Amino acid sequence: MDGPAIEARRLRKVFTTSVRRPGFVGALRSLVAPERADTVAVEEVSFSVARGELLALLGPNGAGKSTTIKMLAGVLVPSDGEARVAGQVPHLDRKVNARRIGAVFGQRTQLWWDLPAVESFTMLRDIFKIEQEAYRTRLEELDGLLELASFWQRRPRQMSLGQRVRCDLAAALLHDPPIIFLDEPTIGMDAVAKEQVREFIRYQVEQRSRTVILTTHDMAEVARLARRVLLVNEGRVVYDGGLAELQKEYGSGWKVRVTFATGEVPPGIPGPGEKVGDAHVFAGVDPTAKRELMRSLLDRDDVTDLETHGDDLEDIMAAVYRKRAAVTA
Amino acid sequence: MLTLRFIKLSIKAALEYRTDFIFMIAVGIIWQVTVVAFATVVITRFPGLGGWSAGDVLLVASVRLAGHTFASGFFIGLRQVSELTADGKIDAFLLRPLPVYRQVMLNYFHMPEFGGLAVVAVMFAAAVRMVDIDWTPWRIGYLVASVVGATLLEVALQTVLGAFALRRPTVKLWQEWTEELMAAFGNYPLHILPNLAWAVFVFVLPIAFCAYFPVAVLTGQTSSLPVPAGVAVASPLISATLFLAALGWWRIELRRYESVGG
Repeated sequence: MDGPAIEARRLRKVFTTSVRRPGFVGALRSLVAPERADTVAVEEVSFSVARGELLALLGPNGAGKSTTIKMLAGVLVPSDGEARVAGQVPHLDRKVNARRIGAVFGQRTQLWWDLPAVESFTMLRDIFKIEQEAYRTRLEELDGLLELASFWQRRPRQMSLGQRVRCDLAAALLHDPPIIFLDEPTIGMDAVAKEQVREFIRYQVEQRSRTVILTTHDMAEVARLARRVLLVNEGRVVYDGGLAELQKEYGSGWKVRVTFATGEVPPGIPGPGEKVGDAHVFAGVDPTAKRELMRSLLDRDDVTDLETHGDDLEDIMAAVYRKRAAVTA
Repeated sequence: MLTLRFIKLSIKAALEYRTDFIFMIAVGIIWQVTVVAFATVVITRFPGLGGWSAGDVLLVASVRLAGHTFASGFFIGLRQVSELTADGKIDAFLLRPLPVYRQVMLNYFHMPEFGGLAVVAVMFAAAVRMVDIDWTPWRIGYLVASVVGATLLEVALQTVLGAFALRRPTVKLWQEWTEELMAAFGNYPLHILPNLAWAVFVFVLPIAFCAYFPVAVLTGQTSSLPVPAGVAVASPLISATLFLAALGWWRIELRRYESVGG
């Protein structure tokens, strides 16, 4: 099939909610004559994802990331616009779409709570009508990548978060879907489990050529996995492009972290700096100011530690949101 | 078959905790204690109710309880739609190439219903001994159809409410109330109630089609019914029709599903 793996055209999702009036009388009035209000969760979101590409879908809480993914996965019906996944409209061809996608929502499990995980896998094998030989091969591969065998006889309620999400990842890929949606798959995990999941995602993109949309608040994860990011805020796309370009366009700032032997900023150092633990952090956007600061620091004997770096991704994202908000204001 | 496989797995999983398993079966039996107590009172204290013999009344209770046991065993998930929505399970169901309704069924098998089945077997055995019915193949077939109808009717009502629960969590209370109402009135020949009450149970919350009308057909007492005999005979069919209509309503509400948490 030609064309992008995923395509969203002017996607819109509006939720209608009841407005509760304050106070007891207000509550009674709401009961008799409820007032409805529309909440626009996603507004005119358009983008496409090529086959074998990983797109990081980023944004603050309530930005519309999960709603967008749910429309692409066929869970929600868009209020307007069109979604196409592998050429199909997800909510109209839900069962066909289900065979082509795998999805993990990090905070929720799709495994049967009271059954050992391996029994959930066999149920999914039957639901997706996976041939026994293909099922065995895939389970072996997934076990090799995620080290599941040591705990897959446990029920999800007896697993740690990391173990449960690894089982969920396996469950989502058992039917070998070419497209994967991962909604905060590493949320709440420890560093070791996170690293294992990141490697798993990287393997799926680079070795298995799967198309992935990943949402996360972990910027280290984005830096490690994504070349392209889509930033959304208040339901709208605020940036769609390469991660390197994003850093170049919005991340012109610098930071210098210095630890002085005295614990205080000595006289003659430009700028007060912000005290962070034992160190002081100097920041700015003017490269001349940075050079001046560095010159004054490098000549001193009371500097015990010095570290310099550019804006991290979180700073860059904050800069994007600030700049876009200023434009739309 | 997925359903049987799921039940087998559920039993296997439950058997790993033998004490819990036995406890669940015992709960199923104890849960029906009100019906058993009712049946005992009817048999031992009264010659009958509203002109119906004790055996006839016991047969009504047996058909109703059998329908309830199957409905609860296989369709208990319908009463958990609020929780399934809140836990994101409905989202997961929508990601699989299987009807969501069927997955709601497959989500949980209500183990205590094995205990309920034991109670049903005892009640049917007692009722069949007490009623004066010539058990021809047609009547046996109609009795089976009645139990299926009673199951489908309860499932239909829970499906309609369960569909509402996809977007309104408080509907669970209405589901529980409906079950209580069916348990409270479904075991009686409803003509003992005032006209307004039986009219409600025929036209609004059609409990009368669950066991009362079918047993009236089996015992040849259709002339005293508030509906034509043909309608009573068609009770299992009417229940099946209501079930199909409820499924249609479920599909409509599922399209309006809004998920939770973004």
